[in-house]
Amino acid sequence: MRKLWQAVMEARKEAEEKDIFLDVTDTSSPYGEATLKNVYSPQDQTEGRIAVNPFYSHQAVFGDLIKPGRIPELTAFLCDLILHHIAWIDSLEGMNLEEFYIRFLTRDIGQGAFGVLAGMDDFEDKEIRRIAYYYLRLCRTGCYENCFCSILQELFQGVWVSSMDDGSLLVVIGMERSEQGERKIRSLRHIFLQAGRKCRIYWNETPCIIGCGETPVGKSVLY
Amino acid sequence: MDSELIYERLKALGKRNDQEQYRDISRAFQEVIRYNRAALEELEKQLEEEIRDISDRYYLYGTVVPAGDVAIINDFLFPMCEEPAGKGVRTVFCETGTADMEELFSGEQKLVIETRDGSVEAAAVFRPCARYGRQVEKLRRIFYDNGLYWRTPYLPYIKRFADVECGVFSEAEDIKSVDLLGRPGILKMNCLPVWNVERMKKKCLVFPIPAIDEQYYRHNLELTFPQDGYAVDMDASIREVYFQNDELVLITEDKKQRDFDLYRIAVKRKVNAPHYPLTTNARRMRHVDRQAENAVRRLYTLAEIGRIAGSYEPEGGFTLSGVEEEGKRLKLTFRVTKEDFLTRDRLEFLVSEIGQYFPQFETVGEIQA
Repeated sequence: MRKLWQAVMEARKEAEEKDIFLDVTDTSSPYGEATLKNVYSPQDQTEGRIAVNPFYSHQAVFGDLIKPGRIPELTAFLCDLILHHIAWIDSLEGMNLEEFYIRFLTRDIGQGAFGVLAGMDDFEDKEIRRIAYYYLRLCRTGCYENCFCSILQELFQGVWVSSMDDGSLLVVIGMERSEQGERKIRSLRHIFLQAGRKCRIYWNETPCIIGCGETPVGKSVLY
Repeated sequence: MDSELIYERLKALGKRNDQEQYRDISRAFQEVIRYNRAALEELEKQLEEEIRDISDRYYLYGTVVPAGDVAIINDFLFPMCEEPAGKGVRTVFCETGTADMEELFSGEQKLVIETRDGSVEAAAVFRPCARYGRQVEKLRRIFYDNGLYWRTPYLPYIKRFADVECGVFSEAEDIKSVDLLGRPGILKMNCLPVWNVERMKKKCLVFPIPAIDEQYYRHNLELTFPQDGYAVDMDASIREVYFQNDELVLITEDKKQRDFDLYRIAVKRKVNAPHYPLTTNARRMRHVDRQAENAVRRLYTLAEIGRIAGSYEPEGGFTLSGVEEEGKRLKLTFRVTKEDFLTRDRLEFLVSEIGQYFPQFETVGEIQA
């Protein structure tokens, strides 16, 4: 059961808003509001078209506008205009207070609210949104390690964080070392860990645990 | 809806007749969209302001004006101290950097005073003028008593005032100009520091009514400027102070009307171009700042330094360019875009403000060349 706003948001991942045509003339499922037309046929000429069943939830709006029979081109275009606006309103209506906060924080962090210490150039928009989410959580809970581990696990693969006796952290990342990755880790450390907190990073290398046969003896050893 | 979308659709429409109709209808529809966008913006603004800034009404502003101008300023800036300088002492304002001020206070200085009768050379002793600093200290105690958050004040001009002891200089009336440190024009006479704090006395206009605890009495003080911040000079009889319906309510043991000493901290108003730029410890509050300030506990991350420095950025021309952490020391490096005689004070202010957030570190700052 796909709603209009879901379809539009999915299409927005690939296309800009002006390239998405919300088509009421196309046949769509009577059991759903909107159908992405190019999902199963990437070669189709009607790329970016979303077939909409206008009577699914907006009978009052489109009841008099669309008559049985062939729909004139102008009517189809006007319906597209109205549906765009309805989709925008619907997508906002689902937001709660916390999501509004995350939206504001994403804007601020994206504009470099943390200054030189945490550069945001290497992160994608989606990642910045996750950082904003965990920053809000950090403000609410005050749990540094928890938020740091969670954000690492979302942004990197094969992350393994261990807390040592002296309070320092040991982070193993299952990826090849890269400059961009190091800059990212540095930014995240500055945002989510206290100043003066020690944190050692190992890239693509499992530390050997004494007494555990499965872990190979490498450069680092844990007791 | 952006006009780009409508333009694209207009191009795609085949018939000319259709195009015209579409254009007209979409224009009407755009108004609906604009209305909804404005509503959303209003909602966002409301959500931002819902998270409180604890020192919203309690930012301090200060500047220097010629003594004659004080009376005509407005309801925003007031002279810091009415108390006159001692006998044989004249208070002057020096428009120089911190290093020069230190040199002034280090020993006897030679003054070249030009009067109507000709120029006179005289030796003078400069001492820091402590009267204004005392006022700031007094206000700080008042803030503590009232349970208000005391933010480091940025009032650099008061450090530029000096008490001069010099026989000729202190008594002469018709002085044209004074040459100091070989530079004419840095020494200004008849200047006064002003700030946005007004001392006032107020009393309850009606009889105090018993408070809800039936033991004490409540005095409702009507406020002329309810948008401003107020602090009360607390004494032992005052039990509680709070705002209610644009009035300041004091719960006290006194059942008779009496005067209360109030401090009004005015919020920013438009000022007619003071002679020296207004200095302030006010910040810009982004959403990040609001969230971090209202966090369950203060965050001690390094990114906070960048955030705090960033919230003071737009006015001072200071940009944080690096932070070095050496054991218990935190070294901050700043880049300066515009330099004037207050640059070092701005640096001191930023370092002390950041240091207040990080008590576990000894904070030092320097300016990147």
